[in-house]
Amino acid sequence: MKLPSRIMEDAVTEFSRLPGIGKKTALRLVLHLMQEDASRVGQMAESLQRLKTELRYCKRCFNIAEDDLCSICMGRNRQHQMICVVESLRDLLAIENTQQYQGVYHILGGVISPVEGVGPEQLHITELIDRLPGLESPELILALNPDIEGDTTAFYIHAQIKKAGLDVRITSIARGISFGGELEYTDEITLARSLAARMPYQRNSDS
Amino acid sequence: MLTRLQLLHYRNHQSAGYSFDNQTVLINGPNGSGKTNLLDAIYFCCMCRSYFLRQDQLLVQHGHDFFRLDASFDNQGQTDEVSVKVVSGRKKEVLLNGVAYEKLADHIGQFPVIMITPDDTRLIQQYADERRRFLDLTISQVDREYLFDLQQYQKVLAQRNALLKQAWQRGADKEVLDSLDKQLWPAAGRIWQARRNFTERIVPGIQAIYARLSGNREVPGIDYQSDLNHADAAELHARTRQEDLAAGRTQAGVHRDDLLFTLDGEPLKQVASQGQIKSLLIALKLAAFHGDPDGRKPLLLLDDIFEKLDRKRMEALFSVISEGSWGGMFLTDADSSRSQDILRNQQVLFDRVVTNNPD
Ligand SMILES: [Zn+2]
Repeated sequence: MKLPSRIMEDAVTEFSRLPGIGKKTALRLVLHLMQEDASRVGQMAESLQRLKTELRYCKRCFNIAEDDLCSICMGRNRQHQMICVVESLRDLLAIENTQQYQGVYHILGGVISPVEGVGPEQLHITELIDRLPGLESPELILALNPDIEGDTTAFYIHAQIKKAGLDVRITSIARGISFGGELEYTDEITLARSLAARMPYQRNSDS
Repeated sequence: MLTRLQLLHYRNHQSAGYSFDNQTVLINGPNGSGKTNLLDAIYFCCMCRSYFLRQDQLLVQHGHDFFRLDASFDNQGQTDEVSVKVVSGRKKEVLLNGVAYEKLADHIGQFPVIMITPDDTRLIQQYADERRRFLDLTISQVDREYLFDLQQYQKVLAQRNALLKQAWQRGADKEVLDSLDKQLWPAAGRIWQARRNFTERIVPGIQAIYARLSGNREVPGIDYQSDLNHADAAELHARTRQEDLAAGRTQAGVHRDDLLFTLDGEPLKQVASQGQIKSLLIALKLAAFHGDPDGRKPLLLLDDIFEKLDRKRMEALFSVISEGSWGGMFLTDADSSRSQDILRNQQVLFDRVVTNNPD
């Protein structure tokens, strides 16, 4: 696309690098911003920049945080002995949106998948195990996608807890979610029900 | 039964529509005019894939970028519409009564089908994966859990092999291997059980049909060969773990299963004539739903089965086939007069389709 200005071209290129944004949409957004007040655009640019400069990962649960700990880990009304283990921030947001869950979280940052070259050492599993001894009768809710990678990760966490000799109640969210279905796409009602009806984590894992 | 079939840009069918009034349909036309492709289109509507080609894109008529199939199945007054859409660069879609399947596996077995082609000799002459493919395609039509277990097994196996391969460089994490094995064992055990049950279930059918086809006294059999015949899955994979680590892949398991066809207990390959092999293959295919607890009636697709037979054998073959319980029958034959004669002799009502597409 030939544009009258190099600056405009750069802006269009930047927008079109975003997921789901094509060149046409990018141009529309840029044209729109050019009509806006300078102060509005300045605010937008600043808020974008702060995403990178002022945000960090929570030292405890790896949620997005503005301080060492995230707002959930610092929450007074949260049940801190109940930890919901999720793959990613998006899964955390999906569960938070149900407004039904009163515990805290632990974001693994992925799931075990040798095919993708992801082993347990790339995930925050050690950090999860380290959280447990400090808690009174801790409970882990494994809210991982019900697929092979999710199950492998669940089995692995279970084995690590056993190995550490910790007494932890482990449950897994009820499989209202179809096998192979993504947690993130599950609607809020189903997800809230799954959380309520979580199952003791056992299955054929205790051999 | 199949009452309607429409094809758009499917192989050498530019655009064609057929409707059928009878259970039996004879497809005539010169070689290369699209007879087999018509059978394959029906097969695709039942199995979400071609019988002959693994890549859907290769089925699209030259010069186009999609194909579409529409089929109507009539079952005791209820009509089901199946549509298949394959567009280049997009995921293939199969629709039942206008609703696209989320998982194509859910369609398998809804419209059971058996294809018999001259190509089937591959089952005996070629590698074990052909025989496993036969098992998988047949069992998944009668056992919904089977396809699920098979997909699970293949995915876990891929993860396990990736892990074993990495073990070369950095040592495998024993606990990750444990976690994968806990998912591998149950799936492997169920696949083994299903394959063993299936082979045992169809053997009486094969023997009865073979005896009628060949008129001979020798008795055919199938020997299901599996690493799991002598050890359960957990035991087997625990025992071979060290070797797997050394080799960098999973060396034993149901992915190595095979079928050995026999005649009077001797391996078929060594003792059988071409005629005996052909009879056994037809018997094997026709018996595939033998003893099916749900009594499914598969649609029978017969490609060129009269080829190289004398008239007497053709009649005999057709009368044996007709004794089965089918949800319809489609036959191709380049020679239109002989096949029409045989059907009329046996007092079968049939529709006739003549293909004349350019090759
Ligand atoms: Zn936190």
